[in-house]
Amino acid sequence: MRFGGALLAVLRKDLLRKLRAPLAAVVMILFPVVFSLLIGLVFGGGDLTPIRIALVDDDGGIVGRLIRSSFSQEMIPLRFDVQQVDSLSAIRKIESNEVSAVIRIPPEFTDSLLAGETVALEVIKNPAESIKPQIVEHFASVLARLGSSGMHLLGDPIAEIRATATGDAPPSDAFISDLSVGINRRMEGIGRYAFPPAIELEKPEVEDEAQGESMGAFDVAAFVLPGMAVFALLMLALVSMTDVQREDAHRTLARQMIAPVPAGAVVLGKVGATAVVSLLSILILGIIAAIWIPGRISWLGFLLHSIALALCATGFAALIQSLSRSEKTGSAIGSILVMVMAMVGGSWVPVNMLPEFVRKIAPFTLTYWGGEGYRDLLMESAGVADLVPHVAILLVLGVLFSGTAILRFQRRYAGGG
Amino acid sequence: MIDVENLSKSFGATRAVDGISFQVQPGEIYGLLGPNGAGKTTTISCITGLLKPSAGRAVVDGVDVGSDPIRARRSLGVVPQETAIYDTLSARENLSYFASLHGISGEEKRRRVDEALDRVGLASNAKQASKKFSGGMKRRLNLAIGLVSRPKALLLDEPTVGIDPQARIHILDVVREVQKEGTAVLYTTHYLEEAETLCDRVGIMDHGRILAEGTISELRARVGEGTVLTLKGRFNPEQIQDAIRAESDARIVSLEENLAMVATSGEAAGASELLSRLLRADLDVAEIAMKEPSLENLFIKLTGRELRD
Repeated sequence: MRFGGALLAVLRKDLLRKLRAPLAAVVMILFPVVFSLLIGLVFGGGDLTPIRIALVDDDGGIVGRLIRSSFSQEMIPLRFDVQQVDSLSAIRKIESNEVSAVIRIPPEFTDSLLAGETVALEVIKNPAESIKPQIVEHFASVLARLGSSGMHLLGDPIAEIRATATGDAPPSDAFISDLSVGINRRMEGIGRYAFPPAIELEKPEVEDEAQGESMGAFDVAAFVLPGMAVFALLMLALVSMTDVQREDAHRTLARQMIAPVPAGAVVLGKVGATAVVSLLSILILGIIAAIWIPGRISWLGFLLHSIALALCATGFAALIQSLSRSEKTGSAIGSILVMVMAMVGGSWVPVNMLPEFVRKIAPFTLTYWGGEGYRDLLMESAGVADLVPHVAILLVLGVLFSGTAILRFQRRYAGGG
Repeated sequence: MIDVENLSKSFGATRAVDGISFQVQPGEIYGLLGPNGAGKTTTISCITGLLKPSAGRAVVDGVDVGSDPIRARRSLGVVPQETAIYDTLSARENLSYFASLHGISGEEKRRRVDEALDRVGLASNAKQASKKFSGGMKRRLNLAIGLVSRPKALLLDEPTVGIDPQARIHILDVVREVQKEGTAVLYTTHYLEEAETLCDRVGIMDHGRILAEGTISELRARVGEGTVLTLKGRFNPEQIQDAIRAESDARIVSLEENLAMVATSGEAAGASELLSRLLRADLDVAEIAMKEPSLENLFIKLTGRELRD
């Protein structure tokens, strides 16, 4: 029998078996959904009080003024409570937990920027807080990127800007308007993370479709949910793939291995059935997340990333089971590895909050690529092209894991074919 | 159809199968008879390609299992010792799945599944989840899965273990049916009666080796089959040896402190004479058993122990 036909037969049989035990199948599918949503509800979803920021403008130039003015645009004051202070007061406010972070515009910032030099916008995070300083850092990085882009885009008018900045004459309205619009757009780009979830508003703001981006909500869940979902998905894959050990114990696996089909088709068919269950779970979670965290996401990107992640997770689970001699051993080893990967790969704590050496290890975990892909989709409005590295790495890992699992099972059933 | 040549299989220092050879022809039932641990299941696993032989080879329908296992398996139907079925699936779904693995599809698959269900008497339970089946029904489904591909060679590994007599009779009848259709059947068992009543030829196996092979009558003739007397009591081996010294037809099969097995040539009178002689000796005998000529006696003579030990 051909490889594909055998694979489909195994896949169909395993899905049928799962359907015949509907309660177990439902629990299995809903586990990542319920788990992720519970965590999301614990860490996010409620009304966020405005994030307090101390702004230190040691520059006093035009760019500083623009940055300051950006905090007063539209709904941003509802989410960011910005107090302009001097450096010393800012440090005191951090120490007394009055602010989540300090954004400092260093001296000569405007001059250096207009001279085409690389400048640094400083962000001092409050070590006593976890999530909010991350949001400020993200916000500041958007400002920095905006500044850099502005420098590249403006080109020739730089001289005029410089003259405006250094001369006695105030900047022209048109010029200030252009930059402000640009800043506003960027602000809107992060807007959906910076406001309460639309679902929790009594009357959400009517979106201006011409502007494209939703003025949705910042939700801590948007940070937490992807990591937790990846973790829960891996656990689901692990639990589901223990079926291969049960089949081994009941000798049905051996019976399939002595059928006139390649052993790889049998193992891959089982991986496929687990991947289908995992994918179903992700899709349910995705739909709920889309309602919870409104904003445009690339559904094609979501689907591709989810398929890659489901295959990778089940391949990993198959590898663990192929290395283990019993269901208990496989579950124990697998759970430990998943928890370590979740910790290192940023499923529980954002990667940039982890120690430097852990951050270096993170990209070697599938939890990192799984979680980052979803975060990019949710928080960076990533499209299919942006997700290519994530999807490619997950698929390669999935092929490696599944391939090794097949070889291991073939070795276990020596003449496997 | 099945050709096993000098097959050996070792697990570390343990030699589970030790250079065995035998052949099974189309339309023949060949029995591998031996106690648990004799190497029967290991032999079957090597023929299916599930285990790689340490030496020798198995050929099925002209195809070397070691070099082309998938092709060899196209001719094989296997009924394992365990009831390897899916409990949550119905009998029909189980059969349909395993038929698919043999590349059978569509109308042909439906026909083969119906045929297999009829054959084992499960047609009326075809849609029932097999977890609701009795032990005997599960065993019959286990057999049907091996038959659904209409194999040229059927391997049955102790298919009647732990089932009621009625189900056993049914299974043995099915095996005889497929034999008549020209299928080569390799049947392992530790039930002597099954081997005696079912098999055309028998290989007596112990410790990984085939000790004797042939038809039942050939085997009896070959070892001078006769009555075996078993004595238990308080005596020492020398006393038994002294008692039978004058008996030219008697042979000590096994002799231990307080347990002796002595065989005669097969003449009933010889057995009585031997018994009288033993009773006249000054032996403190607590129990005497006399076994009529059978394969078990043959096994005892070959191995020095009973089959169920």
